[in-house]
Amino acid sequence: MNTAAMPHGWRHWQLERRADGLAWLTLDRAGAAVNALSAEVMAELAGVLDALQADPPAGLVIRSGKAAGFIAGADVDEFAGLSTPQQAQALVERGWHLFNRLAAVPYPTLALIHGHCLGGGLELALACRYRLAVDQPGTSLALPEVMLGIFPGWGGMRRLPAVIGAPAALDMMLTGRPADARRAAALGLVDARVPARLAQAAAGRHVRSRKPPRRARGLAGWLGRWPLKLLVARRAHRQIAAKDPQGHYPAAPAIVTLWARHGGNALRAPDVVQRILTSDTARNLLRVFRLQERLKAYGKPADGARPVGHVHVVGAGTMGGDIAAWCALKGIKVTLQDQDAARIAPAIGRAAGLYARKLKDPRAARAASDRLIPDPDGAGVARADVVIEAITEQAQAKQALYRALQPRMKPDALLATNTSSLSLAALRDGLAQPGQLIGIHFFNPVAKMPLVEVVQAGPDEHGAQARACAFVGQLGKLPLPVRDAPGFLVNAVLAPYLLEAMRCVDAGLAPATIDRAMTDFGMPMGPLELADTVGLDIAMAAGRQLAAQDEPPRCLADRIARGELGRKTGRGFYAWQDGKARKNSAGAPPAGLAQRLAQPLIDRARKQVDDGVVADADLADAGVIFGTGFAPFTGGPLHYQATASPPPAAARAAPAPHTP
Amino acid sequence: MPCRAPLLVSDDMTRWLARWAAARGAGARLAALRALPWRGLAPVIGLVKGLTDPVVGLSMGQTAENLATRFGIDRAAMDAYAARSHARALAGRAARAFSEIAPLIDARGTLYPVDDGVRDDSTPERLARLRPVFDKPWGNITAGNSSQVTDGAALLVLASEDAVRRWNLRPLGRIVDSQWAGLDPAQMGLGPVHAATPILQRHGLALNDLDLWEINEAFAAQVLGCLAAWEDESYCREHLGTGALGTLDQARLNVDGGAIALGHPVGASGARIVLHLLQALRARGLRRGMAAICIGGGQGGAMLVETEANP
Repeated sequence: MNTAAMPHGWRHWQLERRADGLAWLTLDRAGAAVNALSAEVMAELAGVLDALQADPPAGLVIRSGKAAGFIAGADVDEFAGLSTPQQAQALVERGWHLFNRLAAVPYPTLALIHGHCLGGGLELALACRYRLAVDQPGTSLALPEVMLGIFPGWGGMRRLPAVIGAPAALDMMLTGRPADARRAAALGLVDARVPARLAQAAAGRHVRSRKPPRRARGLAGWLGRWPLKLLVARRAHRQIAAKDPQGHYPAAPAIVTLWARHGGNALRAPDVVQRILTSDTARNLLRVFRLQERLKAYGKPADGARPVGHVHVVGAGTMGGDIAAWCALKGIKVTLQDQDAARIAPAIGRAAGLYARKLKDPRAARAASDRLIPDPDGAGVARADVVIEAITEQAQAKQALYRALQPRMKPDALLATNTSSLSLAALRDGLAQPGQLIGIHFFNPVAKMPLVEVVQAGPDEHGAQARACAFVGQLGKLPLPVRDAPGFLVNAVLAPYLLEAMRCVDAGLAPATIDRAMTDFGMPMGPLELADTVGLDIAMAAGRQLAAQDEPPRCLADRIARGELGRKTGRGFYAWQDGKARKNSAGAPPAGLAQRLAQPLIDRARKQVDDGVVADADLADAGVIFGTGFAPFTGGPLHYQATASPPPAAARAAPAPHTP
Repeated sequence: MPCRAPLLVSDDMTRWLARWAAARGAGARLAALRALPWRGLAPVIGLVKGLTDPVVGLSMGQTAENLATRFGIDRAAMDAYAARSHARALAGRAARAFSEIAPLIDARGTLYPVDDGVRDDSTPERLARLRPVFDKPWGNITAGNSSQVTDGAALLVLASEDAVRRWNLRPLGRIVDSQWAGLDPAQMGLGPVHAATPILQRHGLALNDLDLWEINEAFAAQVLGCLAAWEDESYCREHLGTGALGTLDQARLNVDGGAIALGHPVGASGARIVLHLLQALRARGLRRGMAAICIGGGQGGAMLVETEANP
């Protein structure tokens, strides 16, 4: 095809005018692996529109030059630098006006989307007349701003409801949930999904098709107009209030208000813009995002390192079986060993359920099942790149196993233990190659918990910790490097927190009231429900190990004596039915209760930092947030401690730091 | 596990569906609907279709009835043979003779540690109560003295001498010779006779010179028919151009039972019996064996193997 290069000197955009009259605009942000809409990228886009205005094409196709995806969103670093209301206003204005301009150009426009298309990237696509999604596994369209405590202010709140209808749009904007190519097409978010082999041809034809642009029609359309719109907005507000009664996350109701009252135009409500964009919540959620990026960076493989191709797991119990299932889900061949096939079978059944849930495509689910191989004879040991031990927590049994495994393993393979309570140094003792053994500590349930502690004892001669971190990254989890110490980070901070909650039970408070204090504080689950979920026997053992000298709380000892071990026996602090705790309505927690419960956790986190279990306070915050679900809007326990004002005596339980 | 072979639609229904797909407009669709062949709604059982010879129109069971009649094999002999297959399979299982069979785990996490077709209650008396399946009511072939239609898969690595050296493989055995043969589809069960005999002749072997035999048990009457054919002077003269080969010693035939007890996963049975033959030879410290199988449509296959002297 005949092309004419344009001598504009843009760094990030390439404009190609073809002989058929179409213009192809490719974003390939200089010096970055993914496309983000930085100020420079946006300014250049304005220049591109100027150039096209002078000589309008028959149609414009916008696409990405990055293999990973279309556009990942706004530049988070620029957002982090906001400090004044004026800057926040200017940031919103920049995108709002630019994308309005793109939406108003006289020639038809089309966004050809592959891979991620997030936040500002999707807002750009929504400003185009047409959108096509390349039908491949990585394609993912979302407006995840709410997860950073902000809102889609560059036209997303206006255009998304218009295109797919208010209910579906509010769902996407309030949850940040992504749509894959199939779902995007079903929602009407894209005009169609197109196989990669036909993407270019389809884009060229569709942009000139003169078809009307997608609009929400029928009921979905009416729900976006007065008066039904008011009903939708009220319902959304009610749902948000039910999920977040304390209002820890003010961005969600702000999105509904901006849509319902201001047509999605944040510039018409400067007070909202200022309140949300410069709030502590947004700052803290951004901090969490960057902590996550930091953990992800530990999961990057070293240059030239081969990814793990084969994992051998010994021990097909809950943890071992679920770790094996997760590895196979992530494309790794897995051999799963236990004493006999009957012990492996339940893990295979659970894995099949996981694959059916996670992989919609039955062929992909079958392929994952095929990668998970029951191996009662342990034939996989000799071929594995990583051998994970997840057997019972007995040092002697583990060491005997290591001695049997090590001579059969490949010399450069990693030997990992999932122990949560034994000292790695002690386990290493007496091994022929002690440096080969490392701790890779997953949390239960494996499929849900994003954090994995990577435990190093002694000098790291062969870079084992870095390799283990890269393996965790390959599994799509967040590795947290920790030093060998009882409870590592996460269990160490949880133990005194659960203990304090049980002391409160001993002091006569109702479990539901105690748990309510912490869910109000912003925890995903109260400490006693958590103890029930973990199992009271396990909580007892962990408490013994981590808080040695103290008597166990009476309520805990009594329940264990009665055989009430929590969820697994159907009764603990709560009665459990169908995997759910039955709670009586909780009374209002007394003032200061949340603070009292959180304090031991915070103190312990500080101590783990001081003892060098984690490298710094930020990593401790990251570990506690991703390992326990500690209220993310606080920015983590140590950050919370450092920034929170002392709790007013008469106030409700531990209010989050809040700028009105 | 039982086999889940597909159900098909009838030829009438196939034609109607083609017409429906081609119908454009409400009128054409209505006309097509009126022509729906109601009788054609009955599904066609894929397995029955697959196990019916398209040339002579006989089901595999009916070809076995042919052999029973020709060689005078009665119901009692068939049932006794079937009972012995189960008994040998059970004894083999107790003696861990089936280390090559892997347990299966389904997607619900249910373990199938052993084949559930092997029965400890298949006595000649109980087998005698079953009704004939293929030629009702006078036939003798029943579900009990036929192989079980099962799902299954078998895997063998076939390696060249070079590959064995290069990858430091430890072979179970060596293929010495193999032979395929064609015969009358109506007597396809005698395929093993037609395929194994030329191998015996090429190597100057008598039936009992081999340490062990595996003849796939499609039907009791069919295995017994093969043995009878080798004993039958006129059959051997007419079809093999040689005198009778004599009596195969049944103590060396299917020593750990066969498809009547263990199942006949069509398409995998040949690999299964070759593999098990090698395992059975090695377990007994024996050397030479023959595996043979009949093939619907009128063929037979046979393979002469030797164990290798290595761990």
